Amino acid sequence: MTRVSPQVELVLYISGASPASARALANLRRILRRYRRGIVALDVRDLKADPRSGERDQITFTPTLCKRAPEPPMWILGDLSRPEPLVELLEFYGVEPTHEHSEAHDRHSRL
Amino acid sequence: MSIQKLTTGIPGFDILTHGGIPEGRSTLVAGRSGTGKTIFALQLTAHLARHGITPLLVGVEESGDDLLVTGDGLGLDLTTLRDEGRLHIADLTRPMEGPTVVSGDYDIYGLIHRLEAAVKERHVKAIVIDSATALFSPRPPVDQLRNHFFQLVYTLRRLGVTGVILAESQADYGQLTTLGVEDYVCDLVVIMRNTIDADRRRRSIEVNKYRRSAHFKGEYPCTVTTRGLVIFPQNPKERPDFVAIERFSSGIPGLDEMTAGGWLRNSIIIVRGPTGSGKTMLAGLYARAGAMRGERVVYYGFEEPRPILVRNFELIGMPMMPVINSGNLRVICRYPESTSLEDLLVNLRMGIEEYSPSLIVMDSISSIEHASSEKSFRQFIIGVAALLREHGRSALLTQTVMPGEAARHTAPYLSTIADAILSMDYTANGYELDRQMRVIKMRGSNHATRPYRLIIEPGGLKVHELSEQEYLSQRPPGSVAAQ
Repeated sequence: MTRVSPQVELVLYISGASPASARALANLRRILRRYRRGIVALDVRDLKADPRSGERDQITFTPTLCKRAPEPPMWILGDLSRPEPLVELLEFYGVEPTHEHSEAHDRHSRL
Repeated sequence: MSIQKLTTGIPGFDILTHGGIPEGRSTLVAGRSGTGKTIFALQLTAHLARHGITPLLVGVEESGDDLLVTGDGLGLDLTTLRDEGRLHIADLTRPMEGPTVVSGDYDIYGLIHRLEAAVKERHVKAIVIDSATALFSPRPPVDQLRNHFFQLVYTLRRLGVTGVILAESQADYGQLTTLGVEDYVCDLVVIMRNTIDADRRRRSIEVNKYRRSAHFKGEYPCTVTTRGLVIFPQNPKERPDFVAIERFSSGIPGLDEMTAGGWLRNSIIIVRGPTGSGKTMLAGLYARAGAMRGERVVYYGFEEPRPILVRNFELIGMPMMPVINSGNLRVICRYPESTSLEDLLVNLRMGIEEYSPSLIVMDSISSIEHASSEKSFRQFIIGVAALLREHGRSALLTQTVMPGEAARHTAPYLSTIADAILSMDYTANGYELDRQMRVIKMRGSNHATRPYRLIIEPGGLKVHELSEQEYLSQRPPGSVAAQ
């Protein structure tokens, strides 16, 4: 198996098991399943457990998804119930969903 | 139960609020950009840090480092306080190049966890946020915004810390803040303004609400000096129930007779009269006689430059240079158009604190009045009176009016601050210019109610009583002399 080097680095900041944070984590995992494993690096930081870990990215709100690389950084606030901002962001950096996770397939799988 | 308060160290603010900001509660400071909110916050932060109430300064609009630099520029030594661990900084600025988009619901726990950690680990007792407007950007729908803000304020209360939250307003008057939700949950709401009034900048501060506390109401003038924000009026000190009446000579025997013993100590005298009635001369005598007795006197001249003023006194045989040189008299001349009234007040205050004069002359307050709006002038006069009372100083203020109007009623804010009002007037209907003066009011004195004649001659003024017969016979029909 060839090792895929990540093209986009994301950090998801959450607050323990707050409803919005829990939704964000579930939504993000579901979105990322459509992509090649390893092409997006994801780090999840729980600010309830480690409040100072948000300092680097100046986090005020949770959940916040921060794109650290490639530069410049970008922030997506919210529980990702609207996946478009993330999907468009990945697309911008040339990260496309894999064939078996095309939209049609995804729609089908949700039924 | 009365609430606990924390002093702010901002001159005047602790008086307006009867003791400062509510401890363990949140204060909102609202105002347009450029009204001095950040300066307020920095002064307060430094004061709290110096008094062991460790503050966390949260910079959202400006980075923590920028705030430190601003504070250091005002002589607050914030960097030192930070280095000593008496003050903490949290940087929540978001880089301009990194846009923020919204993908769904979110909450403010990111900040809340950080504040909790600061309180727990760094023993923070006060949290200052500059500003809520920048914090809640992008701006969520109003119910969500209200929810976030409430959560923030509730967290501060739960943690037992004192909160100070700055918020931007779009206009000086109208909706309090751009976000429109912050004032509901804050116990103290302060509005700062910086308006253009009759072509001049006028800064003011107002306590809009203070839950469970009395406070001064309305707008109070304030100014930003190199040492930060200064608010007027300042403390009218508790005055003892009875003050022994102390008199001092005006330097004119006839005038002492008219006032039944001379000027009252710790009093404000207003001398009203038209141009040419002798007001400046009387003011000069007041100053000179005081300085010659060994008192310290400051003479503010707003009508002529200093060399001309000094020369005029010299010409009538009232040399000022000896008392100026002895250090007992300071003559400060400036055109009121060239400074703001707030700066003039600050100047007056600094002069009082540094030089400690017992007598102050302002000739004339009308020049100031003409160079400002009525509102600014009223605030200025109230500020001057508060300043004089606070320090227990005596002052003579001259006021220029139209001929024949010296004895007319004056604006209430002027007549009520005066302990004594003298009117000076003249009639030019006879062969000679006939100058007269009267005491209109003089608190607590058995002064004459008859008119006196005033003669300007080498050596100064002579004042002597005018008999009824003389007065009536000299008063031509239709004259507008003192009624």
